[in-house]
Amino acid sequence: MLSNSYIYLPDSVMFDLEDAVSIAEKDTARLLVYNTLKAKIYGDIETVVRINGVDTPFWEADLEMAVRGGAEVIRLPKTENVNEVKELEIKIGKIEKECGREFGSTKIITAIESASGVVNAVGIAACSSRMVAIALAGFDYLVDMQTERSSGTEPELFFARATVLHAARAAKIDAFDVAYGNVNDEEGFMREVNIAKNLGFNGKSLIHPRQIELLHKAYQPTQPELDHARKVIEAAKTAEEKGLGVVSLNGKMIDPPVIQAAQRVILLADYS
Amino acid sequence: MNLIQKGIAGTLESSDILVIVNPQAGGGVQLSIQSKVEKQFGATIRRVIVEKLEALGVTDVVVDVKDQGALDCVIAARVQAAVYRAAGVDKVNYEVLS
Amino acid sequence: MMLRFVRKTHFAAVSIIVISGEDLIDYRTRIEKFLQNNGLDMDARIAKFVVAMNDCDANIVACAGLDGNIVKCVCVDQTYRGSELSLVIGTELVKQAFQDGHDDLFLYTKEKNKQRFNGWGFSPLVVTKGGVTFMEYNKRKLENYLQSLRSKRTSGKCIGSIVMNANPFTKGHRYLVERAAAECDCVHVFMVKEDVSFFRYKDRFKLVKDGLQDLNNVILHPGSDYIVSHATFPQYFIKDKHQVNRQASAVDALMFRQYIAPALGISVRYVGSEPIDETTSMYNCVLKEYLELSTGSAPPVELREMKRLECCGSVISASRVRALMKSESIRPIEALVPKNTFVFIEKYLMTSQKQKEFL
Repeated sequence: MLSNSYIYLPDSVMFDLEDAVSIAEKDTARLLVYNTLKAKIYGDIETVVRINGVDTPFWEADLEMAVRGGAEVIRLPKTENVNEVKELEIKIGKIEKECGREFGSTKIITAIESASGVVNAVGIAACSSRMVAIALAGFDYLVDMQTERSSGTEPELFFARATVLHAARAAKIDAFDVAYGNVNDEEGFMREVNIAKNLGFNGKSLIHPRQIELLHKAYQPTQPELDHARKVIEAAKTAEEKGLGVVSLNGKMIDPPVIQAAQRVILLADYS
Repeated sequence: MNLIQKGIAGTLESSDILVIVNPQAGGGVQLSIQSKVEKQFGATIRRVIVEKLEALGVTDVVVDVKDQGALDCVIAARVQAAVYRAAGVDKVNYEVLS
Repeated sequence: MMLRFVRKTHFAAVSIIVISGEDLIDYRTRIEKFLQNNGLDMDARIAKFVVAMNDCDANIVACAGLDGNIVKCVCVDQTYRGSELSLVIGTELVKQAFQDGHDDLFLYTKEKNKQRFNGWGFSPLVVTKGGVTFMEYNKRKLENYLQSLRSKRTSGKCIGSIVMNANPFTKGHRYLVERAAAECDCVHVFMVKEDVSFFRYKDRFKLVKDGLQDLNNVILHPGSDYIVSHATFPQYFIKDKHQVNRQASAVDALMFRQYIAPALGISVRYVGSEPIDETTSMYNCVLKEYLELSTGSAPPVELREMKRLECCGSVISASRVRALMKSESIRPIEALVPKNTFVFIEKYLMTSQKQKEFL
């Protein structure tokens, strides 16, 4: 599974050293990830390593391996506050220097999995130039909140989603929604994807290959959306060439936010 | 690297490899390989194992592997893990892993 | 109760648990029931089980047991067959065995299950006429053993062999070896290694060595896993006629015929006739069948059954000696065993007598 995940064409692949690995196998898992990273079998697919939390005895060895192995992104689980990210950042910088890796080339994604993490999300998202995204992890968070998953509009996750998303947008980084645990429930997965997408999340953490295509489809613009976006860009271009300040398409004014949205649609279509 | 005990790493699951290393003083490197893909890849598996042992400075060892079609990088990882376990060393020196 | 949760598997909600010692007492009934539901019997000698358990209902969905270096009672629930679960428990079992200090593993299986255990890394060594396949994990061990035997190969037309437990070495054993040495160019004597007999292997070996050293065409070999061992012939040591199993005897006979005899060029195997002990007489019968069988890749080995030496109206046997020891009648033993053995027994009885008085 580790070695063949590239055949499913994900955008990025995350190697887990945390919950998926028993304590007795942390050492072998590290070497497995290291050699897999070094073999560069993933081509253009972004490589992420989820290390163990900073409250465990494993995270420093995990980090050493991941940075030296060339992982593009480190995912820090159970992030509670800014200090933890700062500690991580210093350590990454030190290892980069030691192994001759370009300083700053290792990025960070933090996962928010608790009430205090959510409350501190705004600071966490903005505290490091290495930070590329912030993700919400639902399971531990809901335990911390003394509640559990419901179906429908999931009010229990609303505050966390909104907070994490705002933190991300304010810091100009990406935001990822919670993973959906039941890999056999496509309907439930799609319901959740739509909630996240409508709120404005950039994507979602996935735990099974079969979820990849579903997510891509959900984020893929429809043909009318894509056609419209292309027209917007074209009209904007024409206006610019003609030196026109304001343009309209089918009677609607096209201003910078509309152009940005259209660019995003085209970008998404290219990616999915 | 000085081996002081038996070291086991990996699994028998598909695309993985189970490696058992045993120190043998002065006996050189002795390999025994069983693989689903022995005909096509037996020589490659052997080369990867020997290379990794050399890089780790392991000279006297009996290595028994059951390969279930593992990629080279997986073979390398399992050999290294088994050796580190056999040496009783926790801290990996990534410089020499190559 | 301590459970050792080895790890979560990638199967939905299945945990692998290793059970041994006191935990096994609590689990035995459940494992037995699982085996029964799948048409298998529990083996009382298993000291360690690897069990896969469904986290939701705590039902056992797969198990595999270890009796020393023999894998037994491997079973996977119908719904998980063909999945990787078998390989997951196989991995854990192999790891457990090697961590326990074994450097090789054996198992018996039906020929149709050969493929599964091949996937576990086992290689088939012999297949009996009844389709029982004997498999080994670390095939290099056998190769190394045969290599060491080959170095002791001698030339000659008639190469004889005897396998003995010598528990303890008697005049009967000596007589059998003498007869064989007179008939053959060279005789290979193999000791039974397993330390489950009354006399320790170390002592048995020493008494045989001393008792045969004047015969210069006799070569004494230490015991191995491949000759009448716990692995090749577990029933030999149980001596329960209900458990006497022709198939296991056949495996032992075939191992001798296909691997050990060719390595040394052995053409004849000697056994004492067995009028009393049922296990041994059945074993002799199976030996004859498999050693002399005209088919097979290795050349046949002739079985010569020699009439046993008698003393005071009945055959000399090690069990007779042990019985006398039990009743502490030391004098009659002197007539049954060579001098060295007698001295050893005398010393032994004296020490245990002292111990008893002390207690």
